[in-house]
Amino acid sequence: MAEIFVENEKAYKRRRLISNIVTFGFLSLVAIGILIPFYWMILTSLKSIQEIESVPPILWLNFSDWKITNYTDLFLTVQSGERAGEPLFPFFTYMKNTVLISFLTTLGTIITTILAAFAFARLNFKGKDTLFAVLLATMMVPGEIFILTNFLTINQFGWYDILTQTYTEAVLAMTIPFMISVFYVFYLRQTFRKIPDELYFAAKVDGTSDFKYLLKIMIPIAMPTIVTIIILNSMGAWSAYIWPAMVTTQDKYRLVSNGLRGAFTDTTGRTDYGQQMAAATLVTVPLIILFFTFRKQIMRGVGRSGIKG
Amino acid sequence: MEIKMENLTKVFVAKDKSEVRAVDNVSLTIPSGKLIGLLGPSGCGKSTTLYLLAGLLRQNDGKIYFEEDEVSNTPPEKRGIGLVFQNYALYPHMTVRENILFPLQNLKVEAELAKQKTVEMARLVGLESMLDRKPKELSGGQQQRVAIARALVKTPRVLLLDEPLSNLDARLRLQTREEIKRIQRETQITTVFVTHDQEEAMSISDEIVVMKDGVIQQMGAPQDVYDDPSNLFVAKFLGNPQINVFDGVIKGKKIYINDMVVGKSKLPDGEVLIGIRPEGFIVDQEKKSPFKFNIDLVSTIGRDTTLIVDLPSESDNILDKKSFKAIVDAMLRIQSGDEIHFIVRPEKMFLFNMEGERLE
Amino acid sequence: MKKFVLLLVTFVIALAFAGCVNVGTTASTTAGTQETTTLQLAEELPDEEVEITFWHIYGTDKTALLDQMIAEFEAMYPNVTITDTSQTDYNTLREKINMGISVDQVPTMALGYPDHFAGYIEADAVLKLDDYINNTTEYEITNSSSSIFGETVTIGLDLDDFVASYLEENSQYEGGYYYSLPFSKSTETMAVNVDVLKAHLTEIRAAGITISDNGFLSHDVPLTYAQIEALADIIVDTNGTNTTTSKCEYLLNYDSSGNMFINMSRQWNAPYTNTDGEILIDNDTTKSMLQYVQDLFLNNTLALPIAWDQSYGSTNFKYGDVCMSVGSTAGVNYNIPTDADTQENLQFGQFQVDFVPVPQFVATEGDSFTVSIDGTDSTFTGSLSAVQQGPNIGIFSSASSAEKLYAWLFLKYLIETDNTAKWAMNTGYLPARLSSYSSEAAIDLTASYSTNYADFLQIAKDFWDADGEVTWATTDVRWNYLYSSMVANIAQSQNTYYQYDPAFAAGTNSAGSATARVEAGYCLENIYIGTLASGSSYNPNTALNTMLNQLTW
Repeated sequence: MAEIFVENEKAYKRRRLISNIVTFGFLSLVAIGILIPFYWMILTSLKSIQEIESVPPILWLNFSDWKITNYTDLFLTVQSGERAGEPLFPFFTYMKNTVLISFLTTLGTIITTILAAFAFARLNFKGKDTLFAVLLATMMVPGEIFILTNFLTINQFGWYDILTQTYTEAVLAMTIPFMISVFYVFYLRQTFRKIPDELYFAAKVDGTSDFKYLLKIMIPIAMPTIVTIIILNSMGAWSAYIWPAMVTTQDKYRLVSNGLRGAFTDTTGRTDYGQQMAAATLVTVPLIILFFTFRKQIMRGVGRSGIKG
Repeated sequence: MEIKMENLTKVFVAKDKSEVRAVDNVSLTIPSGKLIGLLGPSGCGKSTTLYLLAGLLRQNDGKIYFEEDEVSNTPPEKRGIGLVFQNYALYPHMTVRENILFPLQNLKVEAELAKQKTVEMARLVGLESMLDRKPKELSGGQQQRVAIARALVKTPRVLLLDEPLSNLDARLRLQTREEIKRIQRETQITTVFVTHDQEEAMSISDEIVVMKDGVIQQMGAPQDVYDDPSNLFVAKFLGNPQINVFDGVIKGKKIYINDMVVGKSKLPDGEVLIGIRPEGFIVDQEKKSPFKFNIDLVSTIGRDTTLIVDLPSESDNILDKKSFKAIVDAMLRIQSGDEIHFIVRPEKMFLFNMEGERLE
Repeated sequence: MKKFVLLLVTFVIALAFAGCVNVGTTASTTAGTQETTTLQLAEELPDEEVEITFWHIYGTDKTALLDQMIAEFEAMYPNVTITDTSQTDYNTLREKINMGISVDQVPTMALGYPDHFAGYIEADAVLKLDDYINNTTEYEITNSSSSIFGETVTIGLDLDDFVASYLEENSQYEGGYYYSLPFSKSTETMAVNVDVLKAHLTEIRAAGITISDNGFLSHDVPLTYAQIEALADIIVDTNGTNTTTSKCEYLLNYDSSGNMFINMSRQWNAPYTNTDGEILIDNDTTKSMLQYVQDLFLNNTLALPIAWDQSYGSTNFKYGDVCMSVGSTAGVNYNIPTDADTQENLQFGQFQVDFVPVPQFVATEGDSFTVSIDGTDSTFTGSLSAVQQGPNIGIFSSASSAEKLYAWLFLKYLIETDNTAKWAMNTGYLPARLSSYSSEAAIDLTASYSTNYADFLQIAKDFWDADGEVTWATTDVRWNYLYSSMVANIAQSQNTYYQYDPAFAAGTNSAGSATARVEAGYCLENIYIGTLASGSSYNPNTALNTMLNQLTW
């Protein structure tokens, strides 16, 4: 009896070892797969043009071969023209714009999402279901379609005038159309609906108004979902490219994403990839720092939502 | 504080426009300082009545008075009520302390006083040591006590309990039941307790109100209602095991079941329904009574023995078979197959017409 | 509370749909009609403050010369301010203008490809330039703060000075009017590995091909495909590049398969598309041509960059995998092996590179040529053709008459003889004007080296005249510009038979010309992949049918 038990124990340990090897092997592969683009970005940022064009590609650079000038050149100043005296790649301008736009878009989105989700989950008003169905139907329309309509709207509001657009107008044009997301409303409404009615009744009896109930009870309970929405939305706003390029008339209003794509195209139409990747590295570093600082919250939020960005 | 309901009516309209009268013309006075059990099967309108009292639902018709104040149109937060739910409805993100404190904060009670009252209330429900735990770290019974503390902390005029024990296991249910009774005695708050469990209602309430289809069937002290049900529904709803119902006839001032005389009545001749409580059967050891049966099944628990007797039926279908239960003294050592003569206690036998209305 | 939320939801819906409300305005601006009235210009040059916006895609730090030209222009007309902005990429630039047209938010002038302008013309948004080109008005500059105070400015433009095919490209639109003028133009040339050719001098001469003692081919007379086939017999080793026998694995790489399809169609007189947007590729000549190309693929005479999973073949040309490579003039220097390359990759070392015209099928326009397709000889009438590419500049009609006038003057200034020459030297693009080839205007190519276009062209001529044996010091700055100069010379020799690609926006029956070019490229790549996989049994018509399906509906 005892021997059989020991046998089983051994078999069990062996099986566990194998399953661990398989699991961690697979996870390592995935991790490497995720890290490769970052490595490649940093590697490219240190290469000369010839090294970038090299076939087969150069996979490793010794320190002595690093082309640090790709980085230092970014902070050189422009010699002539309108932007004379400003840095070649206006890193801080783009960064400031990107942070501001992400912040405002996310703030707006979260406010509209919470209010709309609350209305659809909690309040009773005429035509609620119809209205919600209509909203959901708009999710079927591809986002690209809205570019034209939003563009016309922004123009109608006077925020897109290629001669007179101010920074405030550019910021409004970039943020207002994205301050609502039907998907997030739907997503948060589902979370809100999972909160039992009794809690609402209890709070009513305990003397709260609808708004206070939303603020004090529903939002704290739905916090994981809300954090997820904040993270997903900020990521979306951070990497937005087409819309900011469409509605801004001047380079200094644009975002890092636009800067990265456009600033390194020379007059022959070729792109200076080394410099571009150096700039991309500089842009990524704050994000990585941010991620490691808020790692726990981000992973919890994304984990609970069951969706990735 | 006395609660008075006058002709209270609540109609729900379903999606297909059909109407359900959940509470139908209910008039009821709940005496001050009493614990009232609102009893009935699910869908009888007892919870709706409670929500009307709380102000969470608005009546279509009728009035509600708390003492002299008419509160029919007062919003729930202004009625001064405490409400406890079946699923406790604690705020999951708050600690026990914050849960209890929450109503006081809304009432803008001064912070020191609020703190003091919170601790006081926690002591009352015996959860002083758990003040900094989150609800999910407590057992069901503890959670329900937190809910009660939260309902009581603002010293409400009325305490409303909506099936507060249903989510608890049997042992906790008994414990919490006693706890609620104790707290109610100590605080002397007029309390309405909604339940579908007759035993629970009978054991805890000063008075019970039995409801069916939105209409009050009977109100009174638990034992009075049990002993003197006003209709077959009430008779059937109270008591465990359920009352036995026989088809019977009255002929010449005598009551017959299956041609066997079981008692006397002054009623005119005719068909009747006869309800006999299980404990209403006495074994006639002299075997003189004509009311006799062969016993089909015997089960003895402690000092009681339950006898189950299958009534003769014309149909062979097992579903049509009727049986009755009699509870007798275990000392009699009755075994299945024995032929037993029963004497029926007249005070445990009720006569109803075919519509279920009490006769006499 | 409820009301507030309702209001909010309504606002949300409004945001989502608001645009729809205004869509109607789009139609009214597109409904105009083409006017052919002659332009009435003001008596005096307008002296009001004029702001001109110029949209392009050049990165913020890459526009020094453009900035300089803007500054010069603003000094000439002090009341004019020119704001040039990059719109990050061509797609965004085109989309912003297309959308901007409906709400009257377009720049005064913009860079763009012919198919972009075709789209703008459909919306009736671009200015017809003929009225300015043919205008005889002259203005005397009376503003004393102008850098050209007292001089006379003419409005008209002498078109005879422009490369003919550039003019055709910019007037290919409905009515034959000019809606844009050439700005940054490029073409294709062929890079040649001189060291490899030099190792086979006798065989090459025996095949009737002119070649110098040091392995330089003719820079005026293009090779014919018959000669290319002969060279393949001499130089290609299908087993792989062999440095001992001086043979390459492939003979000729063609960077842009789209260009190859289009250019070869013209060389064969095979219908491709026209400005009406008709897709004409379903014909016997095109099918024969694709059969012929497949044969060239089969014996390694011709290769596409996908052979090495690349988008350009220049790197593999440097490495010696292929001995000749047709590519854009904008990418000249990517073909030159240097110290910066990983030396062990360079199978022929740092060999001598030469540039020659792209191969043709006939020596003279209209000659016939015979090719062997699947062992059968067929004869076709050939044309000379080389692709021309690169953006043009146009002016938008919504601007005020003063803005239009100054935008025109600015456009004219950008493409005047000397500025064209400077732009060409600075960017590697080709001059759109013939007179620029003899321009005396000097440009500082480096801090210490300044030259004019004629001298710039002379660098390659000197090198060729010495058959590569020049006695320049290794530090001589001419080495830096030798290859750009070669390409500029070759481009000049080709410019009599440049052909443009008919431009049209996507319409009701077919995709736009830009899509057509992309699909043409895929067609050849499909044939290449198919032939590699299944040899001669692959039917190139399969790829052609795929292309046809993609382009017509």
